[in-house]
Amino acid sequence: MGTSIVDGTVEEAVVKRKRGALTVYSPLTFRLNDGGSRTIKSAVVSGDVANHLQPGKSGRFYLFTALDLKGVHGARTADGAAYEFPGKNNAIIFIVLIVTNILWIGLRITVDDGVPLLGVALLGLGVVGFFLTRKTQAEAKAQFDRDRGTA
Amino acid sequence: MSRGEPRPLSSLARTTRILLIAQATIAGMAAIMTYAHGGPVPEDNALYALVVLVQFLLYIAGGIVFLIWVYRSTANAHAFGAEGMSAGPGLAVGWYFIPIANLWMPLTAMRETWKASVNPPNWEVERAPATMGLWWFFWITGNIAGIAAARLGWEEAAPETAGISYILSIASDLLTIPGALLLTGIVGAITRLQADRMNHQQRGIS
Repeated sequence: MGTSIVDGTVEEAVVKRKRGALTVYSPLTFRLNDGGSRTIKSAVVSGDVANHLQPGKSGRFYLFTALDLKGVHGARTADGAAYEFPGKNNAIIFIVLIVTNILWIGLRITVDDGVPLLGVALLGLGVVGFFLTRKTQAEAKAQFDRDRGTA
Repeated sequence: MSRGEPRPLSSLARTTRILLIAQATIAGMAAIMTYAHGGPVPEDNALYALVVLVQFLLYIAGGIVFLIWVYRSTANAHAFGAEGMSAGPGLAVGWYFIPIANLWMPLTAMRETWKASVNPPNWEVERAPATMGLWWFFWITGNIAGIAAARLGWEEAAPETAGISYILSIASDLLTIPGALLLTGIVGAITRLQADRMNHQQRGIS
């Protein structure tokens, strides 16, 4: 959970699937400036950030992990900079999960005096998932903004 | 997250493995006793009650020690320099308690710890052994069978479910045995991988 930075060059960026603004790469491999390499399997990328992930492009790449979602939320290359956190939809899904299950639990308590265990479990998952996704989103934005003004 | 220094796990791993082997042994005893009785064991059977109590205490003690080991092994993986793992040490433990997510995220975190112990800078290219998936299968199915057996056992108003509860109870104990033994191997293997890496780092080999 959290963010990390890669300074290097995109070595391999295989598009696994593309839907709307979201692109999933598998694998996405960087050759690091220190000589090592870093590979991400199933990296989710959103919006213009994908334009910076062409093989051969060098610069600084901003990576995140939120629950089991991994990807690149920002890039600063010679072509400029781009930022977009791809996990925003997940936060919305968790809100829907929370609201739906509060209503379900409330209904069950009102109607038959019982508490649905599945509803409580899903509510718990929704709260934790929402919190962790929003926390990572805030970290990602702060991480990208810290480098503002640098190429 | 703060990386810190990797810490040796061998004594913690030894305790964890002893408790897991004890869990497997007592689960085997419970399964044999239940089967030998030919039906649900009555609550006033003192020997069986003792076995169930020991089983419960071992489950709690083993669980606590195992989770400490999970925390420390995940912290070590981060200390080796692995980046982008889906969980820090706290969350690697927390996944076991988060509803629904506890069906798959603890396995994901354990696989990542294995991979990061093998190749910290580029852990995603590594493959975790199949025994991890097998351990998780036995763990999940054993738990589901155990919970179902307990819930059916409580339904005193429906004695026709007693037979199913009896079968599920034996199944839960039998599934615990390979699950605990596989986990013993996994704990040992990750501990060895991390010890080797710490030795290499101390000698200045990356």
